[in-house]
Amino acid sequence: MKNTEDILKEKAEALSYLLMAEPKDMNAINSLFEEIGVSTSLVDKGTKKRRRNLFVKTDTVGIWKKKMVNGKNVYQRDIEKYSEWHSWANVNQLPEKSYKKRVVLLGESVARGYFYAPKYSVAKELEGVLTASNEFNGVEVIDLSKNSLLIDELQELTQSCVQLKPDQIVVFAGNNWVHKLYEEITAEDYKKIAEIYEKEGYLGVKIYTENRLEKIVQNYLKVLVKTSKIYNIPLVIIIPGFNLLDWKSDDVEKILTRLPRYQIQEWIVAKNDADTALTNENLDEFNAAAERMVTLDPSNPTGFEYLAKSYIQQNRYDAARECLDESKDTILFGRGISPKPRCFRIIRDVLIQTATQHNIPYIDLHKTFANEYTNEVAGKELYLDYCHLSDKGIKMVTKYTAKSIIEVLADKEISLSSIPDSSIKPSNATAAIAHFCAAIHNAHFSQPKYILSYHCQKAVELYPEIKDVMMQYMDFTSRKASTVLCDSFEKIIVGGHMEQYEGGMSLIHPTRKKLIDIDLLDTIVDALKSIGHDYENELKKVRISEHGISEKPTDLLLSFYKLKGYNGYNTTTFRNYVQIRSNIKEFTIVTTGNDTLEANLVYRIPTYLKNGELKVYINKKTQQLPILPFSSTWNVVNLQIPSDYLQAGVNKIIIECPVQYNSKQFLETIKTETAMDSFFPVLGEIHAFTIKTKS
Amino acid sequence: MKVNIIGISAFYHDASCCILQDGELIAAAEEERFTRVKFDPSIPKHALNYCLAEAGITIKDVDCIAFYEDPRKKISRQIWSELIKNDSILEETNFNKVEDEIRNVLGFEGKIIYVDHHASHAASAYYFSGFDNAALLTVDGVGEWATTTYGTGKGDNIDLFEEVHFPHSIGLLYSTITSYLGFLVNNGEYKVMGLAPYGEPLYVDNMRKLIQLNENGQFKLNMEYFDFIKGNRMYTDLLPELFGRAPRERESEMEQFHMDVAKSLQVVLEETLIEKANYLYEKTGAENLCMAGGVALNCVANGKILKNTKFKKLFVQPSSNDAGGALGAAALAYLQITGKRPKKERLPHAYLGPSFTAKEIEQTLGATNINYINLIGNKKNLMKEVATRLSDGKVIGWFQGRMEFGPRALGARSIIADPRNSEMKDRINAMVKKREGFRPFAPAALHEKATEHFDIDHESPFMLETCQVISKLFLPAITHVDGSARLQTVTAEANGRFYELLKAFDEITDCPILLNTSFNVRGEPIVCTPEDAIKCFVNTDIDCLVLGDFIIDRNQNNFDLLRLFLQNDLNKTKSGIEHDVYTFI
Repeated sequence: MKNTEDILKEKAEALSYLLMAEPKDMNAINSLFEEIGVSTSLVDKGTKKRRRNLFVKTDTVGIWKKKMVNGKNVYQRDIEKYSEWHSWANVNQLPEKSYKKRVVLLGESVARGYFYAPKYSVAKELEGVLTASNEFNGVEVIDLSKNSLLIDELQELTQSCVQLKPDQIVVFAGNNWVHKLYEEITAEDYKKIAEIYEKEGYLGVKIYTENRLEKIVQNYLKVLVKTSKIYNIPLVIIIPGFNLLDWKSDDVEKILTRLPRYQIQEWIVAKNDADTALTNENLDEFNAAAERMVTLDPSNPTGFEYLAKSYIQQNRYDAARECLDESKDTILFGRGISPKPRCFRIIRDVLIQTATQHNIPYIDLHKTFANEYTNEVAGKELYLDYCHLSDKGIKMVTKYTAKSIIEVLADKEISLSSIPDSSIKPSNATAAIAHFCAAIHNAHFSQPKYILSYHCQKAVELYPEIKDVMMQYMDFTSRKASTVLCDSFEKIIVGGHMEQYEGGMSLIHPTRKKLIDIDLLDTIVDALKSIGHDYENELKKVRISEHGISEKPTDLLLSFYKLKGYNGYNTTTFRNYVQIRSNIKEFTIVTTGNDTLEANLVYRIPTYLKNGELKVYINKKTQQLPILPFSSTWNVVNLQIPSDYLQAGVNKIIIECPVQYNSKQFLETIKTETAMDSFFPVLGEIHAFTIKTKS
Repeated sequence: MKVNIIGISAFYHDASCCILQDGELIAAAEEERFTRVKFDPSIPKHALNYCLAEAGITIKDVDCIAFYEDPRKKISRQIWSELIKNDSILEETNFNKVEDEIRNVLGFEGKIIYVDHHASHAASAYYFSGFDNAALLTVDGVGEWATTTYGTGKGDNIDLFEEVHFPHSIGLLYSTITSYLGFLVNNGEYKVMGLAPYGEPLYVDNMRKLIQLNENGQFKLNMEYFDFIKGNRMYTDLLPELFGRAPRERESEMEQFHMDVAKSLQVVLEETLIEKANYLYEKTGAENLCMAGGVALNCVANGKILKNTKFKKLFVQPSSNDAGGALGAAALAYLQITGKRPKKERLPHAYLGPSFTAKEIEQTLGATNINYINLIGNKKNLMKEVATRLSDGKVIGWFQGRMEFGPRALGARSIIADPRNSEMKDRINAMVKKREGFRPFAPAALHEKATEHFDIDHESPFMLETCQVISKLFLPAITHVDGSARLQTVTAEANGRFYELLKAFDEITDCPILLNTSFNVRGEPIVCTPEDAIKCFVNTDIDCLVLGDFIIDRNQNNFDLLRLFLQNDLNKTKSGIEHDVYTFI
């Protein structure tokens, strides 16, 4: 006779079969669980999530801790938070409140003056302007801005900063608030999003996510307004702007979307038409094609960027700004794993609405810059990257801010033009380094060569001595060794030049994501040439010695060769093979140009693309290798690359994926893990890709 | 066409991957070495890519992936343990994770074979033992249901004829006391083993209350003392009551009581294993014994089993923990597919991981500002230089050839030193290992001279046995408090470079022995690449690093800045598993 334990084991075994079956028979599962008598206590999913402790400490403000020094209550940097110091203002002690009017500045990296700080900053500039205005018998700006400040941290800081007894709080934030939405989104939300998409398309999805984001912003603003009222401290809100003209969506942010029926092909046709029209300078056709792209896929920024280009050519700047603002917000669809910070329109709207409702002065940079630049769309002159301001941008923002502060604290109206300039500005060296850091940052997030060139050129013009830093950068970037181990990296840090880029530590690449920055290094070479130094051959030599194809196979799936930037597709499944979701994927190789090469590629094409094939080109479309036929299972091919297709130095292997699938067929044949995967179909997969010189 | 079988162990702790090509073990490595996440349990995608590259094949050429346990059986045990509940996340939980990850993360399209956890362990020992007939004993925490199995290996086949089922587990008994003694579960067990010789077996009677030995291979834990079934903590409040002391706080002072408990545990473990091994001998009549499972890493017990049973030969493979399960799974899958066992020869060495060419090492060093001596093509001089430094009392990071598979550094990724120096243990602890002072370091000795110094009559290539030190030399750095040592014997065939170094050291010092410990700092995996080695070297106070043909002397370099950078580097390592309780999930 079986004992209870044996019976229990048998039932557990039966249940294991049911649990592994697809789909799960929940009735049978529930009934067996009941028989086993195992606890049915419900675990609330919400409780599993680790929540940030929002308890506000009363003796700490950011990294500063209350301390009595010479009989005065000061806030001193807490050594236990040493690892965070570089993200905050480089100030050891926040003094006790004195006779001076005290303004505290809360905000994210944009409020710090990223790329200039600690040598020059928004807080320093604001203090300079307020001092120059002579409206106060002493004024000080306490810089509580922090790089990558999240909304929960901002809330904590908003509440704790009152310990410093400010007369005015300035909040310059909103760029990082979307992270809380990403954090909060659950599998349930993804399910919901998929349902909404089927009924209402991408616009429905956008409204759903914007509503979620709106609630997050409102929750913070309630705390902000309440704190202001309780402590009777007036507020000024600065709403961050975005580099509409010169920050472009990267390849990941533009990956192709699943569209109803065969609309993805229509979208590709429209894009090709737009490209052709642009080449032929046929503006009407370009405009029409761009409009088609936007209509077909409002989730893809490419259409908006094309349309904006068309509007700019028509001098329709408001319309262009509108388009680029839409384009900026398409990252809400979540293609990329590291979307760059930005203030979404919904955040801007909620901020304006709240400020208006509570009579809080605000400066909306989107509108302010539009007003300042009526006959163009503001771009690289005001921004160093997506949101961080140039010194010119900082000066403009602080003037407007000073106006609001004076009006509140001095209780008088004042015109912008009557506020004098501050006496401070970044030195040429500081400005040059800021431009160079901007070039690096832009490059690491796959920005086009013209913008890299602009910043590199500015850097060498402002401060030709930057040559040494640039050369050191070129050296460690071209090496296979981890940046942190490189001699040239150490020299840069020792030189202190990269203090403005988070102490230089931002130069260290993330694990397995070292880039060789082909475009950036080429533009550095060009910039150096313009001041009389030619390092082209030297760079070529290092590249070939470190990355040159030899008789030993080079793995093209290493970051050096497959990545152009740090952004990647937003997934939690990190595969050991590459999934391509755009019709074009490029790999970089470095050769002497003298050898015929032999590539080994293991690829497959999803079944919903059963008429598809992969096309492989070397450097340009006229240099095509044999077509790789459809194969839904891994297929191994050996490709010969003739030496006359290659040039000495950097070459591109371009893989073109098929897009001819029917949306319905896709959904029927594919088992997707998340709604994300069903929105952004895979167009080709590569398990191995090696290349060597032909023996 | 060659038959390529991949073996995988994952989702527990010690994830690993190996490849058998036509029955020959080509490569094997733990995932943690690549990800730098200690005990990384995730599907070993990096290790797989390495194995494919080492074998010169692609995923398309793989005939089968063998997984080292049966997910369905494991789920049934988890249901029984109430680790799986009928709660709100049940419907969304993916119970087919193993297959899904093999398909989606690894991209494998072919046949998957699931092998029971303990069958994987048993096969990992038998098929690589070189024996044609052996008794098999596997002992660990838990697999699916089994915690201990008994079997035989004859010719091509193995047969496991008896099992002890969860929750009755010698491994979990050991882990529970490990936790009670304030060490991390799944990590501190070998520290308890090292602690035992300092103690007296004063608590053997108490310990015996925890386990009841029954007929045949069976035993039972007294579950009123254990609380690990639901996976929240290891023991009930009755356990501290039994020993009359509160559990030791982690990192707190080690008292004699703790040593006595460790000793008592070791004694009970040994008597249990000896009794069950005797039963196995009686049942099978085999002269050879193959052991595997985490408990088989208890080299002290292994030595006792061989001495106190009628078994004449013992084989424990170098990765007898769960990582080694990948080998056994692959071997059984190979048998299933081809009808033949893998190559019968005894596993000659454990150097199954990645290696780096002199050119690659030179390229890495060339990017740095490190001063180094290049001895490419001058092996004799290299050995002389290193041996001289060792005899001068230097502690050396030794990075040569292919990385070891398994938890022991065997002269490929090792920290080595002169064992005659009485201060060496403390020096190494202070400069790199930062580990508990009571833990001994192990010796590596020239095979042909080992018997002059150690009471051993056979090879010990994997450092999985202890023996008494009988040397005329004073060897304080590797001799444990009870006069024992965990010996590795080194042959020229298995590790030519390490052998030559031992010879060179012997020529200078008349001592054919070196202290040999793993090349890592506490909490990090053993180094894998030249970069890992440089980083570990820089972050510690090791005197010298030998990277292939290159010698880097600390006194010829200033690493202050580099050390600062490394400490500020955000890409830091961490542990991949939970240490408060055994990893049941």
